[in-house]
Amino acid sequence: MVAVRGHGKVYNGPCSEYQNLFMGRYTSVMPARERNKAHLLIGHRPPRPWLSAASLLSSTQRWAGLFLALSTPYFLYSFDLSLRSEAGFTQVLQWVQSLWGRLWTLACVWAFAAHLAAGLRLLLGDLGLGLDREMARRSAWAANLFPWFVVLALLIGWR
Amino acid sequence: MMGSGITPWLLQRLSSVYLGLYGSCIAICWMGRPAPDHAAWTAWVGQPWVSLGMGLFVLALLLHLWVGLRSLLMDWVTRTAVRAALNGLLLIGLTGVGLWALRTLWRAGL
Repeated sequence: MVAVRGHGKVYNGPCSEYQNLFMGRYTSVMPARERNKAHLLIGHRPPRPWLSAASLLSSTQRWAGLFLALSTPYFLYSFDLSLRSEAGFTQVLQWVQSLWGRLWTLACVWAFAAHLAAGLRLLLGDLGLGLDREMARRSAWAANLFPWFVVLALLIGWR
Repeated sequence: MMGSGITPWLLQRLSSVYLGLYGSCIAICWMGRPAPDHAAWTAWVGQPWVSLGMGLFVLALLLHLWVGLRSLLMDWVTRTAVRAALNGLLLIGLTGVGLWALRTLWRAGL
């Protein structure tokens, strides 16, 4: 059902759980002008001024994915260099074990974990799992926190 | 099926499953192990199951990158001509990355 505002008739009809879950996806990806109209299109309540957990997760997944995509040549270059010669291998190892190399690796691991967790949530959603409001909210929180736990575990493991 | 967008959607989901599984396996496999030397590293990559798995990983990665970056362009670039040009550049870039990865893996003993 579609809520039509400003036309003398306001009807916040029922919307499916599927729309609830993916509202975050829709609102975070659209430019601001479209975002403010999104609730009219799919019969949702007007957007909150703050991001929902699902919305935060969605934009995190997008930016993490873009970061990983842009660093693909870096990974490929390092892999190539490490296999090519003994000197290249030492060079890559020294970079990875330096302070900046560790910070960079940590950032990559964070991005991979964040993209993975958000993607897993979407895959489960495709299978029809966790689509009710409460589960969608909880899974969004869990997926938002997951990369920080991974990084924390890595930091503890390195010490 | 054609033009409905189901093909990229399916490619993205299928590739994501392989990328997640293989990526996590490699990460867990090397976690807690000391850094290898060059000989051990090339020997490990040269194993048929590792290099073959990596070849499939690169293929899945390229498909995943294509779908992801394409939807990013569809969302953010509104001018058709600019979007088409960027899509072309994206395809050329991904092909280049694929050939580079193929050469590297071929040398390593795929």
